[in-house]
Amino acid sequence: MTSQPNFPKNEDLLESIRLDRDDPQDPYVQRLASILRESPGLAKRYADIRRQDVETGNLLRQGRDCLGLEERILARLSGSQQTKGDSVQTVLETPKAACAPAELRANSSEEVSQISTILGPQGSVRRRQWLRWLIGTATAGAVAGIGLWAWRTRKSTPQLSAGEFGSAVTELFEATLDGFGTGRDLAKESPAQGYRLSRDLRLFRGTVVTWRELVVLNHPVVAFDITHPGGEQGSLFATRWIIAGLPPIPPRQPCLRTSRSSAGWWQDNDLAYVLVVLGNSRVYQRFLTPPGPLT
Amino acid sequence: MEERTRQPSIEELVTQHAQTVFRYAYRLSGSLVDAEDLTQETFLLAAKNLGQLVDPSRAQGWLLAITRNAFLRQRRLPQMALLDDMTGALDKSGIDPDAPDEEMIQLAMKSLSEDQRVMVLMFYFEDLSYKEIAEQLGIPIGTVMSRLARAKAALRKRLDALNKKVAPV
Repeated sequence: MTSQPNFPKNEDLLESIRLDRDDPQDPYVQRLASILRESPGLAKRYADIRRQDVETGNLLRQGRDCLGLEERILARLSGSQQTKGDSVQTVLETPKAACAPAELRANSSEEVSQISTILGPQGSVRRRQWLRWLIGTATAGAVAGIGLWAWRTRKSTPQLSAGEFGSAVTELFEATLDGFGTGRDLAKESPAQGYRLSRDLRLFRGTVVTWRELVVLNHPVVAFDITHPGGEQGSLFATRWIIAGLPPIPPRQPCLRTSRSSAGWWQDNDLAYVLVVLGNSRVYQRFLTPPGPLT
Repeated sequence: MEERTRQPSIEELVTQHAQTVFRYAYRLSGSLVDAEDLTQETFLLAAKNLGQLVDPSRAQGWLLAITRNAFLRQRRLPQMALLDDMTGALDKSGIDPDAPDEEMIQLAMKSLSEDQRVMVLMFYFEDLSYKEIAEQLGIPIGTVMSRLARAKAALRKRLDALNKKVAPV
């Protein structure tokens, strides 16, 4: 018989107390021990819970490593220390994160604002990125507009522009969303004729990739539909076509944004790629491998 | 003569604990991108407040607490809502039958509320007792126990559902 009032429900005690680690003198621990002695059924249930706890704990502590993380943190730390100790604004190109965008979130809490302050150089990087994005978007928009106009007036063009191609693919992506992920599993079967995923794509364990064959502007295209473990969706369209004006690497900012998706395009040898993702530029960037450290 | 344990440098902390902090941040935020942001923020804050690390043998717990607090602060900001929107696509996206258990548990974690996730990680990842959780969150022990029991039950339920979904037909 216990004189301790207001003990939690048995279920709460079973779930919360670990007899092998918690203080045996604690009244809650003693209460649970007494309950388990009196009820073999609850004792069995407790043993099951603890077994599951061990498994769940192990699973939660496991996980992927983030490559180059230590170097990036140390680079940011040294950048912040330089800036604190020296009023000169050193423009520091912080290595871009492999698992996160380099930019800090603005309008964060007070402490985060302080961090932003000590990371002054990040501001310069952000401004330059923004300017690059602005110029890139304006250029891409103009090119896309002209491209679309040309495409609609001429229908078939031997000299396709990058914007025209990218816009057409983006339209196709949005028009065929119902078919997203319904293709063949890339893990089991690769597309013919050497169509391959770009090396610039970031894939995680658990990323699901399927592929479909489509036609864009009378050209065969393979669409790799990618679903990240976090649920983000995007398609990489690959076509064997050399298109003038495509950059050799994926742009860090999308060339085209619609109300639903963001898209960027580039050329890798004989393959032209268009990456279209559902979401904004942050989502777009998550599909790309970041540039390596600048060392 | 009693020798004081040497205070680790921030570089040593980064080398020893960055990956653990990153995994914790990933479980907490559900996004690799946010996890790295959070990890970097953790070490920047740690560097600023290194003097507060009174017991170097508990450096990992100290860092994880910084991560947790940073996460809770960030989550109050409206701009983070976008990520939650994006994770809404989870159920539609299908589940990879070959996904390792650790990914499955990540999906299950995402189905918990933020408070539940914090509670579950304090219990499982940080290995804190109900008493320590109550102290750190500033809530009564009874509340911790009932919330923990609910969070664990929700996690198990979601894991069961996911396992059924990928079970071979």
